[in-house]
Amino acid sequence: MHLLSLDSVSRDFDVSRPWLNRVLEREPRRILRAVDHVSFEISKGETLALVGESGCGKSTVARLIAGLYAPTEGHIAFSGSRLQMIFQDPYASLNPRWRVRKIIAEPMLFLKVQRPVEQFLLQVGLSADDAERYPHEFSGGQRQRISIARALAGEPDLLICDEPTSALDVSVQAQILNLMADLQDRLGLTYLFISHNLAVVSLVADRVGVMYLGRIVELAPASRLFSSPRHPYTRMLLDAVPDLAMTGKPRTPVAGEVPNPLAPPSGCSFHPRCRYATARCQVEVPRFSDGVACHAVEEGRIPI
Amino acid sequence: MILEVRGLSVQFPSRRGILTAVDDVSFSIAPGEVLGVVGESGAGKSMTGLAVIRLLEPPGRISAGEVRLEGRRIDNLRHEEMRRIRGRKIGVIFQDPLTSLNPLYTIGEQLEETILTHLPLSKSQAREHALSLLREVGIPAPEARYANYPHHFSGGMRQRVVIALALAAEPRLLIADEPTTALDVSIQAQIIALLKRLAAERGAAVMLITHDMGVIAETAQRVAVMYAGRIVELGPVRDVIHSPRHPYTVGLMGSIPKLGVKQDRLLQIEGAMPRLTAIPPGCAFNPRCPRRFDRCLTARPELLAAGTSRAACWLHAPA
Amino acid sequence: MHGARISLGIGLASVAFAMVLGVTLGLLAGYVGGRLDAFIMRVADVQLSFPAILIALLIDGVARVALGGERHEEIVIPVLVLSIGFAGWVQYARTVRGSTMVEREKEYVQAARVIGRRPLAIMTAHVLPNVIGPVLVIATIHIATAIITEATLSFLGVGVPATQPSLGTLIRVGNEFLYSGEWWITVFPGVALVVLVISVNLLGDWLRDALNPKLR
Repeated sequence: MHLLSLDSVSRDFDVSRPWLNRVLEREPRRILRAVDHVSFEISKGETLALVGESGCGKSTVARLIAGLYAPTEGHIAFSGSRLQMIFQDPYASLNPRWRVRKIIAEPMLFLKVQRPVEQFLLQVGLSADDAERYPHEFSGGQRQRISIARALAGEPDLLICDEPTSALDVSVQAQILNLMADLQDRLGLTYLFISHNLAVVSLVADRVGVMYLGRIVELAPASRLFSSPRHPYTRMLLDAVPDLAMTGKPRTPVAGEVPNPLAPPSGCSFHPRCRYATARCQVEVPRFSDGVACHAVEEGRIPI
Repeated sequence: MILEVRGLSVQFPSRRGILTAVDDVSFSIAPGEVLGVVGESGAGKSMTGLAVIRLLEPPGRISAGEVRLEGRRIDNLRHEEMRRIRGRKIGVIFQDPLTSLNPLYTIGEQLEETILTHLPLSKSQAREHALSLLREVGIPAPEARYANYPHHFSGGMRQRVVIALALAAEPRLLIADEPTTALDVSIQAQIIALLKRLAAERGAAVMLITHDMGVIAETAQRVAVMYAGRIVELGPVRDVIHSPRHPYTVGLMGSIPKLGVKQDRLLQIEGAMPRLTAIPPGCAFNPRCPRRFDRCLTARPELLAAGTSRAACWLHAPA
Repeated sequence: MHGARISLGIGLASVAFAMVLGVTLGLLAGYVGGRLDAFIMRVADVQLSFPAILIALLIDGVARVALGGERHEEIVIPVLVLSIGFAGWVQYARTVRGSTMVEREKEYVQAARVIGRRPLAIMTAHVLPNVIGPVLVIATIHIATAIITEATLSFLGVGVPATQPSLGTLIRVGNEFLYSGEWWITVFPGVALVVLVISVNLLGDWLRDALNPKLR
């Protein structure tokens, strides 16, 4: 029994121009399909990461699971009691008019037993008297710790982390990632980790889902995804990551840009940038099977 | 040397006294070379770049040192002269392509304006030059896109246009401040490759300012690591990354997650970079340094020879 | 003095009413969005095309007819407060709506939603404290305008009757005596009105500067 499972979830946004403009200029409605038939499960205690570039829909998936949006199609099943979320921007995720005490206590309004706020502050490496301060008195990294404390106070079974360290300096990021790993070990937390940074994901994730234009194109255990990626987009992404180890490995030049999500290519949406694309790829959407959605992989055309 | 910076300091007065954002910084960049300037937020790297091109916001000002462009001092020029040099000899690329381009003019118009201001060309020659620049930075079908407005381009394409603008007057020095931070990783790779190629082909000097060590590894030949307004390590990229000599650089490299390297926990530097109002005496890194000793608390180290690099650390003092 | 007290009282009360009405509608329009927002804003737009005085006159006129002369005299002050208040809620609603739409997208609001707070709780506990700043400044300036509006209405004869005169009424009444030697009946209330309005405006300026964190 999985803690969370998504079954063919889709989410559309109506980004049409205002009614009057549309009528006067005779434009059709414009629907943006941000998430397109996404399915996956998360088991208790694991960390599943969703990676992709801007516009791929990973943040929308996070918000669908958190209940901030409702799915247009499909079904989300959560078998736990509570979930909480940490957000990317440490400066916007805490109410500037509330003291830290009130911020951390808020999730406990819905619990039967209220624990002392100080307990959570200590758990995330802050001190007890930080409870009386206001968010603007803290640095970005400390604010993220407060966000984590707030999430923990809600006693969640699942913690959704939407780019939790993307806005932080590298050394602060290391502190926060280490903290999150410690908390997972100690409290048995389950994480859904959203990020565009593949190196961070390779550190934290047990399994990784790669998204492109609203679809999951590959889903595999982290060790397998990074050592032998199968989908051409995954390969391209991994190739594009700057090579800090400076191995001087030869890299295939990256082709093209992410198309406009309002007018995605037909068939497999990656086909305009894919060196293995055939006529079939332009017409038929690849089925997701055995962890990857790609005709070329299915047909055995891609050398490993 | 195209750019030589000696003892540059930037200060600005505040309610709590005079704050030093850049403290006695020295480096040089040769033709065709890319120097990476890396550091975390507040380290002073952007300020250094702004100081070089004299775009500091008052009351910030250069309080000490010299900046020489092709041998000639530019830090003490009058504003008019500096303005001419800035467009002609120095090109600048900022982080956000959205705000670097004027949304009300087509890219063709913006390119032509820059070209005509600095080069003695006719309008049709300027247009030809602009088109060839757009081709060079990889904009497909530039003739068709010449009359487009900035919002017609995607983020990556816009940044290419910004690079074309920066190169328009054939500068000798290119300053790029976080040019790829706002871009997706696949586009980032393309822009990095472009910058590298252009620097080499034109023999320009590039000062690449970023917090992203990976970008530096791909693009730069040498790197300067900044901390609390000072350069703490300076050397060839490969050496600084693989065998860092300054404890801060060691900590920094250890805290970066690396693809393909299985780690359980990242190396963590305790504490945080000091604010400008509270820079410790002696070595600015000493409160966080696992290897500090007495001298570090009182005396500020200069850049000392350490293998192929130089590090501002008393561990490398000659015995 | 008594006249000044009535003027000020009506000014404060009508502003308080306009503020509560405007802030509430602005919060709702900004947070809920969609059709409710469109409806509220259209009403606001329509109302803005009429001068405040006319609106106040309209509401007051309706009240007179509906309640008849005597009844109306008894509750003339609340009616005045309501009519001046109704004339002025739009500026609060607009400001609050704009700020609310910005704050709504911020992550602390989304965090509250994930935590499970209800929309009403989020609007009052989270959004309201963050959008209320400019409202207080508008309110102090609005007090001056409300006082003048009341004075104008009373001067025109449709405001406070002579039995409980406000400054405007006094000015009107005194007008008739202007040339008969008792000029002070008009002039002194006039001066008092000017002084009152200037004081309130200065208070508004001071408040705006005091609340501006950049000037601290």
